[in-house]
Amino acid sequence: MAFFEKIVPESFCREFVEFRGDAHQIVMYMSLVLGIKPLLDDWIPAGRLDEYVSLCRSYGLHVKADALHCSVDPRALPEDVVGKEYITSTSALGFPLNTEAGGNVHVFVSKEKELLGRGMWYPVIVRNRMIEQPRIDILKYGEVLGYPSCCVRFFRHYNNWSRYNFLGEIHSRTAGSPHYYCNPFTKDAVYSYIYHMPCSYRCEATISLVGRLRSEIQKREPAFVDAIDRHLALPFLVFFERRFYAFEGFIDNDRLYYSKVHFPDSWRPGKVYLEMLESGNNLHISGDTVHIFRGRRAVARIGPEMRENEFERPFLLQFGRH
Amino acid sequence: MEQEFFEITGFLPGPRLTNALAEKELRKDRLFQSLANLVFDSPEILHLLKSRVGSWLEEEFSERTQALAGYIAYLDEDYHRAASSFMTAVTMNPANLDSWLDLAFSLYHLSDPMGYAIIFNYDVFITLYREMEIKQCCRESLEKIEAEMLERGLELSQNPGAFLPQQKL
Repeated sequence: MAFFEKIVPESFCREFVEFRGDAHQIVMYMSLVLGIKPLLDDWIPAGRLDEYVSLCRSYGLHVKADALHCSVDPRALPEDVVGKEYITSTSALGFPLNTEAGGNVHVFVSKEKELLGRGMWYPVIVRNRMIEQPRIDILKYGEVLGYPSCCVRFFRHYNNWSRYNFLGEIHSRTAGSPHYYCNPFTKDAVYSYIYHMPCSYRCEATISLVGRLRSEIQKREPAFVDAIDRHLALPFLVFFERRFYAFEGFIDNDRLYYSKVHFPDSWRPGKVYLEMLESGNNLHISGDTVHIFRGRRAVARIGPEMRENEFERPFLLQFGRH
Repeated sequence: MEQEFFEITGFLPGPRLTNALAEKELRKDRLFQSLANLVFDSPEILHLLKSRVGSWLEEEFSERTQALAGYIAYLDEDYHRAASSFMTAVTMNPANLDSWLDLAFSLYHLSDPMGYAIIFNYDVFITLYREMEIKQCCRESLEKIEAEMLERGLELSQNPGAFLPQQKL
């Protein structure tokens, strides 16, 4: 099987993929059903909520519908929306559940009914005003979702793109070789066991969490696990948040040899270096510059002058199985 | 109170400002956020705050101390107590949107539908509270406002079109 193709489990939780039309969060649904992940949230087309609730019930999951969200282009919003300056490209209008406005229902899902009350309001525009949840709800939510507390606290301090290269900070705190259970780079491409950012690419709590999850999924879906494992063990070139690439190849003596490049993230602007990388078949990093070669011939370079910001610095990662 | 609070947190609580709807500000209060960051990073501080808040309430009966008591209860995940404190804060200053939303999110965590009612209709609640000359924010008065809102057709689900921009994705 080629890399980064559409993946569907044979049977376990397959209905979630069929319902959605894609495998987004499928491993997290598996984790939920297995009783490992306490809670997740998702967005379901308003007209299909009953069908979704039935599907969840068939797996022993409880659902709480939170609010109706209607995606909106920020440019279409009136100028006088309070808090408009904080709106990102993924903004939405919020309505009560019984509103005839289309859109998607924000839902919380859990195996434990009492955990549904710990779901977090998602910032949306209500009546021309951004309504945000209290700060403490955001800070605590990682643990509600089942992320290791060490990773939640690390995220709180270093997930600040204007001050840190968050992925680089994780790298600098990785003692020993990166473990493939802690690979977060393919989570948007489904091929991942985690949906959080680890505090180290060898985080012990993450390795323990994933060890349990992977073992349970493997009993039910061995081919699915094999496919994920293959992807997690690929070498990666990382520049900055959402600007990283996976390679079919290997790293030898700090040089990456490759036959194909993949951009596994969903944020399209991050693809900016893809064409240059595709022009070569091996590369190495010198200082803050990536030198790209085809054989021995230099074909491109990605230097500091091309950076998005001062924190963008390239590094190579190879996740191992031990 | 000021000195004790400063000794525990390293910052002053500051005055309680009114976030009036007409001013079109997202939030005026900064204390809740500062306390959230502090307590998340140093959970032991919450115990100190909880041990002192009773005497601060006795010392100063004000919207400011009621809101502070609400924040401490909310950080402690005692949402019943938080809601009660925020109701008192609303009673003392019903024009302050910050208190209304703090109350709404306390009720939200209790899975109380009134939390959603306030979140989606915060401006209607503030306006009707004044128009109906309500003297005390409590469960009963909130239900009266909700009934009046539905009677007048002011609830958000009854007229979503007013808030849907022309270009919807």
